[in-house]
Amino acid sequence: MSNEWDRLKNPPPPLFLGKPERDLVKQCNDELIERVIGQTIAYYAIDLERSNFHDLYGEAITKTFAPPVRIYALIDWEDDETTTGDGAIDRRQYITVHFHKRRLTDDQELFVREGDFVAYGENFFEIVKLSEPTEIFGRTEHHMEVSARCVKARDGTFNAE
Amino acid sequence: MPAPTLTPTQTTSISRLTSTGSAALVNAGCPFGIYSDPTADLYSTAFISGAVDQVAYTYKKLGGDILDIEILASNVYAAYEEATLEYSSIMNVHQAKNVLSSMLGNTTASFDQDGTMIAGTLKTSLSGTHVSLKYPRFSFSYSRRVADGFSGEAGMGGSIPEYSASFTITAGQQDYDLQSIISASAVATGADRTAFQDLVGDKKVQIKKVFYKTPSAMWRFYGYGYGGLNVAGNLGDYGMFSDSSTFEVVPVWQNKLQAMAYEDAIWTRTSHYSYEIHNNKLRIFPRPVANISPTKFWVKFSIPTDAWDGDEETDIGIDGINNMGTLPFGNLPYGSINAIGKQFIRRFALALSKEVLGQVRGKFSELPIPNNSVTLNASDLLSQAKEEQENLRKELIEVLDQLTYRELAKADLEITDATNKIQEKVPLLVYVG
Repeated sequence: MSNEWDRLKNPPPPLFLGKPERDLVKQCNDELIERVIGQTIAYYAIDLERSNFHDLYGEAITKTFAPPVRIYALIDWEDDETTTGDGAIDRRQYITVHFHKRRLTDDQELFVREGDFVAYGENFFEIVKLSEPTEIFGRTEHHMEVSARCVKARDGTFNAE
Repeated sequence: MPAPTLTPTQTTSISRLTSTGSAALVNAGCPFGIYSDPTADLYSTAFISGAVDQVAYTYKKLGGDILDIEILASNVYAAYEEATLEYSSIMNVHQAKNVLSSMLGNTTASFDQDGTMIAGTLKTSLSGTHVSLKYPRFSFSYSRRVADGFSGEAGMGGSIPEYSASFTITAGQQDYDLQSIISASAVATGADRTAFQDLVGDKKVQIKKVFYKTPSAMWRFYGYGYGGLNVAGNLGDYGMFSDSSTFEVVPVWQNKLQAMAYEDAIWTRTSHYSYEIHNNKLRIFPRPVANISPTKFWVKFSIPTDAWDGDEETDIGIDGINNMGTLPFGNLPYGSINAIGKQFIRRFALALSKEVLGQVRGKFSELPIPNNSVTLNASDLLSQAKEEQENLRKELIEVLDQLTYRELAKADLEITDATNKIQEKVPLLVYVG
């Protein structure tokens, strides 16, 4: 080691909170989210290759998506947000989907993207913001969740029916 | 029925109790392997089966059909072994209460790290049997030890050697230092070598008796017509043929006590001499006179020894069992544990498994979940486990304490007394139709 600030090639595992503990957290979360709570969404990943984007505006009126995947997650249902604009009332519905990150990445090999859609109940929501707000045991390389703020898709924006 | 697996399958390491155990894995799960190691003295296939069954029992009792139990089957095997050893220990303590008094001074044994008796004299003599499973003779061991000390002090036996020495009287000299006389004799060699050679050193000998001639009164006791004491006839002819008289059959010990009392009276009442002794310095009364007084006096004495010194010639149990800690009790064989014990083991092993589960679930005060955290039921599990273990131990010990040999004797007495009282109420020879 050339100087004391170099990172070790093989750092020792943390003393008290290592992989077994993280695995236990995952196991309990899997069980809690899927067997006890049981909230699910259907995830629709937009197929960028096959969607027909507008040449000028970049928007795809008709979106092509990969087959939906059922995902267990914790969902915060928010109140409607109504705004009054120039002679019109606009009502928007938001949800926040809290994905269990390790379940997604380790077991399902999925990742969440902004712009993809989820179906919750009878409605479709578009993912508009992603974040990973919590770490596991304060370790920055291990995150607990992927939090996806979603807004209800307007009619015509996405229709998988 | 096991809980449904998640879809897709969890690929990360999962700690979950299986619904059934596996006989092949029991030994690996038992920390000590006392009953599960095929090479162990107490190896038992029944124990293996019991441990396997315990997994299913634990799984059902903790709701494994519904939700995960975050322990492994190996934890259950370990709990089952511990529960068996706990039961064995409690039973051994109970049996120690029963039999220690009779086993004091008996042969001890050596044990390995598992509490299994290792090769030795006792193990050989037991031939695969177990002291803790035997119903031993009642032998008053401690009472005998106490009596041994008393009898030694009284000069009537005991296990302390008693020696004698003599010294020659000097006319006109009343004072003699017995300690010096005996110490000098103790270092004598050759023809003057004594039985207590090199045993005295600077130890203060205990003088038991001073006398100046050999007692020879026994003939008087039995001698007809001269001082016969409390004896009608000579026990040879008179008593056999005397008419109109009844005679008790006298136990031998009574005759002996009479003889001793009579001898003692002769030794003291007819003695011309007396003495004082202070710090083993003897003063004889009256002053010895040449050609009249005896030429030699004798003393009997013992040499104090450490209480733990054994006897060179005979085994008096000094190195034997001295308390519960040296009883040759090994772990109980699994096959000798009856249905009562087996149920204790199941329940105790369940409580131990619950404790392990509580430890696992309680490593973190709060378990993180997406956007929140949850608190698992660790504290409930731990408090339940502790309470159940305490109750099981208490319940078993209380029952056993009611069943010690002493308590059984008391119960027999109560039954006898009660039966007698009932009999008192029964009207004799009065018939009420």
